[in-house]
Amino acid sequence: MGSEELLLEAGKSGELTAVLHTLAETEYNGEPKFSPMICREIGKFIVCRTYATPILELCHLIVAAAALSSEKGRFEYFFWDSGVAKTSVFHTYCQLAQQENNTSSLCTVNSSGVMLGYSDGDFSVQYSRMPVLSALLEFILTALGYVDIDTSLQTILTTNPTKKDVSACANALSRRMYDYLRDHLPTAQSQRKFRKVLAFCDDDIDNVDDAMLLSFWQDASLEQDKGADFKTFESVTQTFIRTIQAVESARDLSAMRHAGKIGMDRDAGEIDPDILSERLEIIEETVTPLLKLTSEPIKQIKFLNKQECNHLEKLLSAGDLALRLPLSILRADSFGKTQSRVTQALRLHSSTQDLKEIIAEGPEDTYQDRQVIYEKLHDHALRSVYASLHALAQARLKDVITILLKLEPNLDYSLLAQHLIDDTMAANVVVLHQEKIATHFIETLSNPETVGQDIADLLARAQDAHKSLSRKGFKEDPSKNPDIAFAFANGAELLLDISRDIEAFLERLDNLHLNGGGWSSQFSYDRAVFSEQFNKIYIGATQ
Amino acid sequence: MTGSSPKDAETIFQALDAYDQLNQFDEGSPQKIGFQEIYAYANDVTYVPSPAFKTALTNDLTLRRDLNHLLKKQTIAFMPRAAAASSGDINKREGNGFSLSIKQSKADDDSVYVIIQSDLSEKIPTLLYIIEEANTHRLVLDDFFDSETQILLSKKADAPLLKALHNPGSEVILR
Repeated sequence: MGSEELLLEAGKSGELTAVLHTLAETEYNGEPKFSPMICREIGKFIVCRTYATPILELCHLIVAAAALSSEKGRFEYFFWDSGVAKTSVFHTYCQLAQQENNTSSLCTVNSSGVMLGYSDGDFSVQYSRMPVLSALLEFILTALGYVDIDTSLQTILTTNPTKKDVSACANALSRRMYDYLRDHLPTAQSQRKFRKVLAFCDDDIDNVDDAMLLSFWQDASLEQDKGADFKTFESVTQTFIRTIQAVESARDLSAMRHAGKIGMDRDAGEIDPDILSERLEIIEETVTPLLKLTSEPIKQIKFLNKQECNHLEKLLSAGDLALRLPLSILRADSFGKTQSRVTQALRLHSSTQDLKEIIAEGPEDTYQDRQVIYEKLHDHALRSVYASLHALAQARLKDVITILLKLEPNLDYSLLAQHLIDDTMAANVVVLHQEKIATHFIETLSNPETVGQDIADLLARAQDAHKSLSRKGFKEDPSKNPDIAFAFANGAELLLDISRDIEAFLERLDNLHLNGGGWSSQFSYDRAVFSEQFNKIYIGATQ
Repeated sequence: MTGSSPKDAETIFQALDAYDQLNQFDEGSPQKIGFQEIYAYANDVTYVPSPAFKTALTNDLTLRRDLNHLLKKQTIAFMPRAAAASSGDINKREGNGFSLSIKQSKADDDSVYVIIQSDLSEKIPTLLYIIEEANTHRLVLDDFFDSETQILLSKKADAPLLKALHNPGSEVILR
């Protein structure tokens, strides 16, 4: 690949990243308009090219938005005057529009969404789809421009459109998107990275271990080839992880095809976009809890702050591979920061002496420090689960049972189950005494004689955890706010998953055979290796 | 790569890698001007344009095209550029039941009044836009009393906006 082509490739991803960055930073009254989950969903549509169906849904939603508008045809109000892109916001907007009689025979509002009754068929859009469709429109307008898109939309806005018209309009938009992505989505660089890693491990990813990854970085980071960024240890770790994930995912796919669980792909040699999207979703599953914690309404409770999320990101995004490449995760977490400081200093045109000092300084945290950080995060995550359990129990919400079972699946629940069955029956019969029954339920939960000592102890620990946490949202009463109840119930489940991932990683580190004997020697050895390599990369000196 | 198709693995890797690249931005990473910001500039009286937006208004032809399209779509009154025969500065404009005039303040040499009068009462504008070939200016209007609003401008501080208002080649939109 020539240098001109490489520059072109870099420019491609730059334009797209800028559009997605803009989407992530879009605000409404000082609040992010689109959640990180929504933004990543848009990213998935783009890289897997699964945007055709969402664009079709979007076009129908635009027809609905125009019909619901106080000024007929003005679809913009729905998307830019409604507020933060949340299901509840769009639900309220549609209901208000209906109350103000801003509906037409074409569009009807119901409890789950809007229904478009075209002369040639119906189409429904659920409220829960509206936030992501709204983000898709923001992306399209920012990337492709408002004038051209608005002009294309006139066929479905100015006439009494048919379902066929909307499909035709959606197809035209999809074609525009295809052309845009053809010019802006980089592929050659990715292909080169993948092939280089595979060649290094002799096409056998099962060979990959921490030592191989380090060795690859030591070679590749010094190469002048700009075709792939292997300068930073973090990017090399990420590339290896992605390569293994891709090969393993392709193996699953192959097994599923073989077992007849999925059909043959539409074109020979191509993965169906929907299947590709599914593969991506499965691989991304481990990092999803962190993103979900930042989504509404879960983010109303500050389970983890930004720094804590940053500490966990590499570990969680590696998924199971964190257990296979534990040293690489530690190295990336520790020495990645030093390398970032060096590259930042280079951007600021710092002197060679300054660079040498940053390199000599090394990372702020040793490997033992990192492990203490992970342990603290594990304890905090678990404490948050217990605190949520207490809040849910106090609010007499049934989610408490789900959390209990997930937290301690091996406890003896037979006594509690007996009381719960009795309580449910009582609640069905005497509705007026619901509060009394709920109180009884809590008493049952915390009474060692009725639920057993183990559950009673667990709930006492939950109470202590709740007392000790003063972060935003933890003192809210979930019985008075359904959003808070949802946040406690779902946040607790996510944190339990996170705490278990950290626990498994810490266990793996404990059992790791270290050549130097202990963590202290390993850190000293790695520090020397990384310092030497940084000097070679950035200063050109061999020590 | 036993048991898997190399082509499939490469496709999955490419998607993952592109996905990572697209999501790899921090505070300092470049951004574009999003449509949300264009919409806010065209509709929200409380919106304060960011420095990046102000720069884009003069540098980015696509953004200006998008903004002008949106403004014209939602205009309450449109005061077109003066006839080709016009020469020199203009102090008065009319369109869609509105008139705009620029008058010198008697109390202060540095101040002028922009006076907007309305014949219509249905829609009251809150924003005024002056569209020039290479720039767009925005002015938040005070409330209308007796179908009229006055805005006091400084000849020095608001010189670019006043110059644009006097420019016969500019268009004015009330929103």
